[in-house]
Amino acid sequence: MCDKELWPAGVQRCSLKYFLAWLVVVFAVLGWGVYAFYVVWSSGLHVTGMDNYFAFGLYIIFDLGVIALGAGAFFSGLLYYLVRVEGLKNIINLAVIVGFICYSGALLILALEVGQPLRSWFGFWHPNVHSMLTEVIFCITCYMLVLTIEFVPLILENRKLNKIKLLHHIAHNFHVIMPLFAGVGAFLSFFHQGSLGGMYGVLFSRPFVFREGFFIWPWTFFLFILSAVASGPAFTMLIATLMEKATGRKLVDFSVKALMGKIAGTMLAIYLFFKYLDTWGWITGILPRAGLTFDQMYYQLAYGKWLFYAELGVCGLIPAILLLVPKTRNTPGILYTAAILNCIGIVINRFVMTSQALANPVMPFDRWYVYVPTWAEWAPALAIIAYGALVLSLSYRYLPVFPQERKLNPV
Amino acid sequence: MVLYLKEFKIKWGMVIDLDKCTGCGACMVACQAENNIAPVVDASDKRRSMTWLLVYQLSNQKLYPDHDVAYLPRPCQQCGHPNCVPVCPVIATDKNEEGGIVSQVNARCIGCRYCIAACPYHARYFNWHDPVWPEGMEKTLTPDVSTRPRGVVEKCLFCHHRYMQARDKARVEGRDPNALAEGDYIPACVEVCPTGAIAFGDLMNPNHKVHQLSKSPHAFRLLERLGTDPQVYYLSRREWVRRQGDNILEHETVEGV
Amino acid sequence: MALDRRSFLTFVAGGAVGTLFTPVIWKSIDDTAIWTQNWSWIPRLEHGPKAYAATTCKLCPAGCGLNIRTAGDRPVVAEGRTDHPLSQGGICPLGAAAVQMLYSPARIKGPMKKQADGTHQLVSWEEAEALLLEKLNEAKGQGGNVACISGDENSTMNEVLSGLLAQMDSNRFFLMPGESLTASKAFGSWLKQGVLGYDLENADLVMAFGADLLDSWGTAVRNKKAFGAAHPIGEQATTEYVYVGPMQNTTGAVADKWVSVAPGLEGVLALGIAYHLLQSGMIVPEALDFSSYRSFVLSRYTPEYVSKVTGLSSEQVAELAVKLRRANRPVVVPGSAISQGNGVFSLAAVMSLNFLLHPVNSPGGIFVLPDLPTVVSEAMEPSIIRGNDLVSFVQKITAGKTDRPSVFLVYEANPVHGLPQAEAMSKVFDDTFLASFSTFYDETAARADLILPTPYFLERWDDVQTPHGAGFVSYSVTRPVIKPLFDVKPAGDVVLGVAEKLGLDLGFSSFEKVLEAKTAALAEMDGFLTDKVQPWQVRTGASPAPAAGNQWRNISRGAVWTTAVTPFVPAVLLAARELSQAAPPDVDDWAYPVRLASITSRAHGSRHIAIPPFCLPLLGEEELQGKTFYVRMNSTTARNYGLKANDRVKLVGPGGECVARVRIFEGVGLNVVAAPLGFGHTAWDEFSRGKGDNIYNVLTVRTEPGSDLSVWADSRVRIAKAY
Ligand SMILES: Nc1nc2c(c(=O)[nH]1)N[C@H]1C(S)=C(S)[C@@H](COP(=O)(O)OP(=O)(O)OC[C@H]3O[C@@H](n4cnc5c(=O)[nH]c(N)nc54)[C@H](O)[C@@H]3O)O[C@H]1N2
Ligand SMILES: Nc1nc2c(c(=O)[nH]1)N[C@H]1C(S)=C(S)[C@@H](COP(=O)(O)OP(=O)(O)OC[C@H]3O[C@@H](n4cnc5c(=O)[nH]c(N)nc54)[C@H](O)[C@@H]3O)O[C@H]1N2
Ligand code: SF4
Ligand code: SF4
Ligand code: SF4
Ligand code: SF4
Ligand code: SF4
Ligand SMILES: [Mo]
Repeated sequence: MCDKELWPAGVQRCSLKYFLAWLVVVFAVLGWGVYAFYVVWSSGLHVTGMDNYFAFGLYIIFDLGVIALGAGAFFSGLLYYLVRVEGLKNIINLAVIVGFICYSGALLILALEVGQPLRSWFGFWHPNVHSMLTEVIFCITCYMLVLTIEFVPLILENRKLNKIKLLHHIAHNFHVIMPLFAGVGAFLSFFHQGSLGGMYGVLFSRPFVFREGFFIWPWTFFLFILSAVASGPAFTMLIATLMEKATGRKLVDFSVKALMGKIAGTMLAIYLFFKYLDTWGWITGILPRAGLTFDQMYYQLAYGKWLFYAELGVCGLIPAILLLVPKTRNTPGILYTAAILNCIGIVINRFVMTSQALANPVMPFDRWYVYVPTWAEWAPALAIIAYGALVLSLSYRYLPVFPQERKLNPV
Repeated sequence: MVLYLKEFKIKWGMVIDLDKCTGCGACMVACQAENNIAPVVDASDKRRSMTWLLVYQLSNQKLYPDHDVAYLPRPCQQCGHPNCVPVCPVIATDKNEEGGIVSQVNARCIGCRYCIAACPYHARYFNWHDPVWPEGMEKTLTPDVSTRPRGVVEKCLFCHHRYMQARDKARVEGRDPNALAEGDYIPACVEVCPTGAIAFGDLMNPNHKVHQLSKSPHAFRLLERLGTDPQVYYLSRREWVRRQGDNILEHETVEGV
Repeated sequence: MALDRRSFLTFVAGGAVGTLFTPVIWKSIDDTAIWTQNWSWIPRLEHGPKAYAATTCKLCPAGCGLNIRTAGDRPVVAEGRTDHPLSQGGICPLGAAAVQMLYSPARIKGPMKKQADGTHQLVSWEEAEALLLEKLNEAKGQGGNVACISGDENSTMNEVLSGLLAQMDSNRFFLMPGESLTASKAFGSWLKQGVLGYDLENADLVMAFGADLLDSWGTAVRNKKAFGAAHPIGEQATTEYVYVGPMQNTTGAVADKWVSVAPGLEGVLALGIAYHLLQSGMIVPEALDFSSYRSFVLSRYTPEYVSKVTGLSSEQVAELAVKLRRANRPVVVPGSAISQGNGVFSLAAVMSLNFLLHPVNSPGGIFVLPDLPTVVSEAMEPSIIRGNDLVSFVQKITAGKTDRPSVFLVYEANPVHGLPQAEAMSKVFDDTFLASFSTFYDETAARADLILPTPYFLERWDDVQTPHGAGFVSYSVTRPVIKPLFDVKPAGDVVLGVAEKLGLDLGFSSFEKVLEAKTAALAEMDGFLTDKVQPWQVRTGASPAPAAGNQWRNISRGAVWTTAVTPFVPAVLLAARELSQAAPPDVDDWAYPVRLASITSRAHGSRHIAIPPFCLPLLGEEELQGKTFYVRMNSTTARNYGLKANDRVKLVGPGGECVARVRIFEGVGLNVVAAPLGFGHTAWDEFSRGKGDNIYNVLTVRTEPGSDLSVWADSRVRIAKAY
């Protein structure tokens, strides 16, 4: 038995037996996650570690994380289709797939996260125009459609499918209008990345995350966009590298990775410039106005100051420098390390903005609590990762994801 | 962020005298009974239990024998500038009715809990469990407040049904439902309090006691400097109690006598 | 037209698209809002006309008037009655949870008999009553072979039960131990007509020693109302409240001033204050033993001595004396924070301040409140009942000094759980026939050979006579607001029925008739109904209209009867002899070095009621965590015993021990551990069972010299970290 017929032309893939064995592992993790979905939906959210203090937990942190990391899709699309950065051609397909995985995964988790999933569509039916969350619901859902539209032509390029005339034409025509979708996607993404940050920034009752801003948008709105575009390309690049390690084949040229690194580094530097300004404004303006001090914002290990320094220093300034300096950026090991730090920094940011913001007691007679996620939160998160692995594995095996693959791996 | 703000001619409010509150909790029980909140076997998981009204114990943080205690009942503060309202994606909570009570429409709520994150007073509660009454106890449900399913957020509504009943009564008696007298409308917790620690009325109406009380030099509101503009006031002659009403930097002093 | 596959599909597709243009689909989607609200397992509201039924609370002795709100014929919510002088519109958390307790899973569904394997099986009332009859028949005529413990201090049920005993030649009728016992030992020799009451409403200074006035002591809600009235919201207080006691319990926290004194030393401080009052020339002309009192106090309770024993400075003591002397109408309230187990020394010492400050029966001071007439033939006089010491009786039995009755009748009491040294004390029921008249499956019912379930107080007739700690005489009736939910029977009717079969004549065929007679007997006294004028207002000049009309009609429907008449007291005794004999020794007890300040709070239930489901949310994070409860101590005490917050700690008393977690609370005196009663239930239901430990087990009974009274409010323990 062989599935060679389905492989992209001119490339080598592992044996079907190996591939299926790998899928068994993936499905095991997925199965655990599906079970968690069942438990949460049937018995309620009390199986999670969330409570009335931690209204948001790992689900939201995970979602914010993957949505930021998935930003590689819209930003690469923007640069490739609209700004015409040609080098990105060789990784744009992967960026779209990663984006697709991140967003569809995030939406799945959201269906777990709301207490009344059957009412999730009320956001469209009874929208509150003042709510950043309404903006998020609209933009994420629409952007998910855009990502699907972007993903479809790639699927249709499968060797077998592409032989069908109609599908071939569809794929071709989609490619033609892709700049339009890239534009729409970029617009939607700017808004929902921003609104996600805006969700926190508008919480004037939570001095830990409250920010002033521009018109109705608090600074976090813009900071979330910037931090997403700073980490998204790095993450896409890391996924490509991970796939190379897993398959033992060269998939994209190192110069493309370095380009992604340069984009990420540039954006990270810009982001950090504003983030430092914002932090300074927070410490000297917002906190004292609320009668609070910087020290009061941190607690023990779980919410300690180490997070602050890790986010803005070790996982902020350092990777930014490493990615901006050509010499370090062009050294593969350093490039990857810097990209990883970059991604970690953004995830820390999403963690503190969510969990620490809620843990931080606002009433003087209130106290800190520590949030600990349960298995029912880890399992779906891991399942989404497994789902990503599944989509990537299938895409890699059967779709012409990497245009350079044939050239980089001569038979 | 002031787009949604409405001004009201009537603002129902409480003035809670913290020097009178004994922390007995009768108000908490009355609230549960009045508003059909199901009992739970283990209520010691405080972060998951449902207490629309919660009595906090405050300490002056001094060592024995200089220690002092105060009790602070915390209903929903019915903020004039509520953070919970603008964040709700589906308008399941609003502040749009004369009287200034922040509503909560349980059948609309999708349970996203954004409003919980937004409320600095922990006045909002998520229904983590399906409400279960021990066999037969459901017969003690009042006909006034509908039961809520798992997965929605709820909170104190100033016993809104009593407001409606008071208005209806006024109409039937040919009085102006928009000019209720003090005492026409009294929430359950206020009514039950054995020391009379809570005054209730229209903050805008000079004939109502709360109007004057809210202006007392001993009056304060929780976290006033955040700008939530609560309709619940607290009173205490003890400076340390007033200090705990808000976050205060070391060099700052608290207003009042 | 033939329906081929193609046209079928077209039809289906067309139909599907078509419906999108009708409101059907959108309406049904929108309806999810409704049906996601109304799952079948969530109870729907039942509507019905709103009404109120006035009754009187029986969940604790405080006797509040309740207004039960009904919807249709379902009681739904308990509210306070504004017209009742003991509640004045307020109630406590326990009372607020009263209606829901109707459906407590711990309710006993019908009469039950203990089986050979120790379990209880439902039996018919005929069988249950026959068994009771048989056991009583065996005990009949063998004086004292039947004993009775009543957990209700205020009900006329005590006349029925004590009348039955008397006609069976037994005088072994006991109340669960309370402070009226102590008062009876201290003043019973001269005060036979009634009890002493405290006119809080007219006082301008209230100084409570030990008594947790603002939570559970005496007429709890009425006390809070008096406090509330004296502290008008937003205004300066008109009456100062001072709490002298071991901790910032509710009263200690809320009173205008807290003076920290270890449990058991309140009396020493009081005599230290008396020293100053005597020095300033105050006397008690009507006291026969004044001169011995005076010389005892002046010789022993010198400022230096009192300061040494209590740990307070001489200035602090003197300041309290000044406060009392300056006040126009000061009243001093003696008691223990748990309303039980205090000694004659403590009570008499504190009470003597009242005698020094003003004559008996002066407004804002103390009053003699006459007992109400009894109606059941041969019923024991209230003054006799008050003097019966259950704990000493039990100790005598277990020590073999007196014979064990073969039958115990326990009425609305839970002695198995709620006597000091509970575990040891409950052995008194070994090898006896224990019959429990109880509404709930408490520890005593669980132990009983026969359970004769009483209707819940919202399902029965009952009454409340002047509660302990009151300031005025009162009588009000408890009446049914709902038909009994289960196969229960009023204990009065059961006892009257059995008595008749025993050939005894108590004079009544039903308990309701007893109550009717009781109200009729009130006519002997010059009383009035409190609808317009409150009893304390009479003391300052208001004149009420005398009660008229059909007394039972009025009282059975909620009216409260009272009288302002006070018996003439020609002379008083300060209990100088008892004071000198019972004075606590100066030496410390090194075996049990830590003083135990027990707490009783209505948030935790009452003597015979375990914490109700609706009160559980009142327990804070540092009161109960899962199944473990907390005891409180200040940081210095904790440090001295190597304890930190949240540590597990073992409290060991001479008779028992228990385990808890440590809560650091700076409102507890040095070397004192504060622990709540009312936990550690083993019966009841899942809401209260297995939560915390039973502090009654570590309370230690000692016999007070001079009075021979059993005392445990000043218990001591050893504490150590538990692993
Ligand atoms: N002993 C005695 N018997 C009498 C009389 C008397 O004076 N004394 N008077 C006679 C006369 S004139 C009359 S009119 C009748 C009246 O006799 P009933 O109609 O029996 O009137 P009540 O005894 O006042 O109330 C009956 C029951 O209803 C309950 N109840 C009160 N309010 C409500 C409510 O809103 N909802 C529900 N579900 N229950 C409620 C009360 O607690 C009580 O248990 O009695 C007659 N019988
Ligand atoms: N507080 C309170 N008030 C009530 C009620 C209540 O439950 N509580 N119930 C209401 C109801 S239902 C009713 S029917 C009314 C009843 O109200 P009333 O008619 O006032 O009834 P009673 O209180 O029985 O008073 C009747 C008086 O008649 C006297 N009397 C008795 N027998 C005779 C006789 O043969 N001849 C004469 N001349 N006098 C006699 C009695 O001694 C008593 O003084 O009360 C109403 N008011
Ligand atoms: S009922 Fe009154 S005194 Fe008791 S806790 Fe509530 S507000 Fe305080
Ligand atoms: S107290 Fe909280 S829930 Fe209530 S109005 Fe204010 S923000 Fe909203
Ligand atoms: S939980 Fe309900 S009320 Fe709160 S923001 Fe979400 S939808 Fe609105
Ligand atoms: S006002 Fe009503 S709903 Fe709000 S806390 Fe009081 S009793 Fe509860
Ligand atoms: S204090 Fe006692 S009598 Fe009064 S309401 Fe509470 S339990 Fe009932
Ligand atoms: Mo009547």
